[in-house]
Amino acid sequence: MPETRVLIIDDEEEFANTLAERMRNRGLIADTVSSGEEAIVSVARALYDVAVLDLAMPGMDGIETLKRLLSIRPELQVILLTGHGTVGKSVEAVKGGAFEFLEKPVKFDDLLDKIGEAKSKKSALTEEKIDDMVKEILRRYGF
Amino acid sequence: MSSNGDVTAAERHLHEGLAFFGAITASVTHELNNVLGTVDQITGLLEDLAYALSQGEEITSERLNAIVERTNKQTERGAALIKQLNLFAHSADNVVAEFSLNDTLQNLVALMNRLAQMQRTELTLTLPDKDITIKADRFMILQTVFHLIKRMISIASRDTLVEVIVSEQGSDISVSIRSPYEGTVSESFDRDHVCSLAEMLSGQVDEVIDDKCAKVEFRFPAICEK
Repeated sequence: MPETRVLIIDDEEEFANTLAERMRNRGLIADTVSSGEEAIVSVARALYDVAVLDLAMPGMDGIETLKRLLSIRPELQVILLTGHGTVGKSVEAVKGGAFEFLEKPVKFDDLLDKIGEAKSKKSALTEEKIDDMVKEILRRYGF
Repeated sequence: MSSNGDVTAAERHLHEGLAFFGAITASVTHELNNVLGTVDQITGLLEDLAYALSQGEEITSERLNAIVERTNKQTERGAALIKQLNLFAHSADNVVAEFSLNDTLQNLVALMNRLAQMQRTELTLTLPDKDITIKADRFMILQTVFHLIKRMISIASRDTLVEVIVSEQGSDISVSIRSPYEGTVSESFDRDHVCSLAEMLSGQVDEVIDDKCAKVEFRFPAICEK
């Protein structure tokens, strides 16, 4: 998965940093933040393909973070990481626009597979958006 | 259940006690799950490095030692959580027992720190210089203080301290919890239940909330054999 940009959002910093280190070893570009508030700033500043988001975080929780991230970048694909007690909430989150959810402790290869699928979906959405923009320009200028 | 199908007071207290036990257990096991998840990723990182080594890549001993150190930290964190949970689990061993209030409340505050962090607050505990030994229902005292701390956490302003202060007042013990306050009072607090717990310990709960600070005090006798 060349040039896949991933943002890991988790208040468990050691977990997030290790995950990011492993992703970089596999050729992904991975950054970490430890709160929803920081994630919003990062997503507004840089283009990411996929966000890996912990559902249970101090302050702004995963659901609220998800909504805010998608309002900034609707094409961003968000994979939720959940604990045992929050699976019901995750189902709601997927209905609200998350790409998928995985239960912690997550298997790294499963997560990589999901990131690959999410990246493909994001690329398809971006292409669709570009096609629409081109069609709109052609229509507006009568080509 | 009573003959007309209503839940009796005793059943309600039993249920509330189990719910309290469950809330603490759920919080600690969630954190243990995080520890395991982190150790799992660190182990995976070692596998990645072993593979890289087999491919001729150079891996320094410093890098490996740093990973060992990271694993040790998580192991220590997990062991501390299990010790805290084990100590808590034994709080229901006897209805009335002689115990150290300092140790008991220190453990409760440690167990509740994650709940506090989730609300973006931090718990601090101030104990008297000398250890207070009391004779009472330890589980019921824990349950009462838990509800009061939870109450203060839920209404405290974000990024502030929730202070738990323990003192001896003659033959009574005072556990007071205070926090900066500028929001609305949570409605989920079951005042009647908490007051009835305090009464069963021959104690009382008083709450004062003004526009800047919220404070609740639980006062009870050091010896309560019921």
